[in-house]
Amino acid sequence: MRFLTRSALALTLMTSASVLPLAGCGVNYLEDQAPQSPVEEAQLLMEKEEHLEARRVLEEWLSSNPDDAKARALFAATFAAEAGIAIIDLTKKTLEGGAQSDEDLIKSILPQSTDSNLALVRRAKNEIELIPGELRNADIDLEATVYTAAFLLMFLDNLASSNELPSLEEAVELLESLDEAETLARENNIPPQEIEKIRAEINGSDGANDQEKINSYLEKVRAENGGTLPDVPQDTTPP
Amino acid sequence: MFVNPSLPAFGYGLHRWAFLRTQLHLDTVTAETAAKSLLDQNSENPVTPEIVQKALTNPVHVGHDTALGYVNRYFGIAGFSNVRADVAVRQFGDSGAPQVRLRAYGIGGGGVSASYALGQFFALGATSKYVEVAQATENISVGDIQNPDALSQRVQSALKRGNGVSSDAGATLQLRSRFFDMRIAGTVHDIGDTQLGNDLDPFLQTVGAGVGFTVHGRENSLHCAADLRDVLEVYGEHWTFRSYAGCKATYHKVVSLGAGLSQGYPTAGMVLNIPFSRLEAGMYTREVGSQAGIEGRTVYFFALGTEF
Repeated sequence: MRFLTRSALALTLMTSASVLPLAGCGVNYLEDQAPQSPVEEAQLLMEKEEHLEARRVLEEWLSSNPDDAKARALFAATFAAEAGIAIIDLTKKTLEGGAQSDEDLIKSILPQSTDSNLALVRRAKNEIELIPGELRNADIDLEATVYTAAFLLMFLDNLASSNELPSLEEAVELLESLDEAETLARENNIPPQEIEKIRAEINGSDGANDQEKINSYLEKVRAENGGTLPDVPQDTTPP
Repeated sequence: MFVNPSLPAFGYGLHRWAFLRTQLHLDTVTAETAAKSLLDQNSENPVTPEIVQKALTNPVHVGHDTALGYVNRYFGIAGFSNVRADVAVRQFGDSGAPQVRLRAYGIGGGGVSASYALGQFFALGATSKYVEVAQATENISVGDIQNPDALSQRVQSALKRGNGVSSDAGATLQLRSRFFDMRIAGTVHDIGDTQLGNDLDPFLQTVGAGVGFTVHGRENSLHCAADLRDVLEVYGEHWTFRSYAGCKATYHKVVSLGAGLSQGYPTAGMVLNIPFSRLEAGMYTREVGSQAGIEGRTVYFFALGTEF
């Protein structure tokens, strides 16, 4: 019996020594048996900055649950996050203080307006737009406002830095974005001062049609700011 | 007494335990940060920017349990309190926007138990206890975070209180030999549901089942057990969420080492019994997601008690 209990103690010591390190690692030995919760899994992947994997999980979930508004909004967030937009940065900036307006806050979190980032933010905006109004909550409304405003400002900057006449499609998209951003800002009690200023300057620019007016406006911006809009991050990478 | 009220009926003599115990639970980062702050003798303000940053990026889980009571072969009386709080800041909440997840509860009260053995093999027991409950479960959105007044109102409105009387029953079948014991037990908690009033959901009646064996000599033993809570799934949780198993080896009735699985996560701990005192320490991982394996919160616990 002494041998039996000594062996039992030794076994438990060895087990403890092997288990103790694992106890802090989040390993779950019944995970494969448990039901899956894709949306929760995607949330945690986003926290770990694994946005592409989160997107894959959500895409699969939304293919059979297309009306899941929260999952759709989280799916939109994967694109925005990949571009470098995180609404938590807005919260941090608000708590730090110093921003003159909500639009200033949004400008402060914008990434570089490269074609790839612009495409990601466009996709984020479009995904949020798929969510019907009756299924939106305050968080989804905020995301819609931020993504739309971010897309507008990044789009303008992208056009300004291209030195080309914007196409008709681009001009139409720009004006539609102005309308969307203004509507969302008003719905969320954000005074759309910057948006109204941009619209007024476009309308007041030379040109026979919207496309030409937008180009005149962009040329003015290029001349005033060395090719970019103010307050949007510059690409300082050496050539 | 509270887990299975029939157990005190087994054993020799009348007296079982008189106890006073306090236990602290801390998540990994909070424990490390608190230890570091305590050890930093030169710091006038223990709440450094580093600590604030860690709180924003790491969940905080704290808990405290206290129990005081007396149990003998036939009767038990005890008071208790349990408090837990889990706060996690999520960059990407339910809808992709930042969120603070607040999960907190406190439960305290007192109760009495009765137990009776029918021969050497079977025992029954019952407990009745008065409980006061406070609970807050809220996902606070970014709009509230940026508005301190709205945040305060949200937290206050999330706090719900109630009280009620809860009854439990237990039955245990025991087979004993010189070196080997085996037990099979069943329990019913919150018989007839425990109504708490106000806005709190009642504690639903649940049935639990467990099995255990002990290999032992005079002073050393190895005890292993497994139990499944809410066998009838009244809370709709998968079995992986409700299952617990482990082994504990005790040497000369002084030192115990244990390891096991709690909701599928490894756990480990040790107990040191010195005259009239009991020290416990260990770690476990608690599931804070909706299913086992989603999000485990690793918690260290430390307990100090007087027991005789």
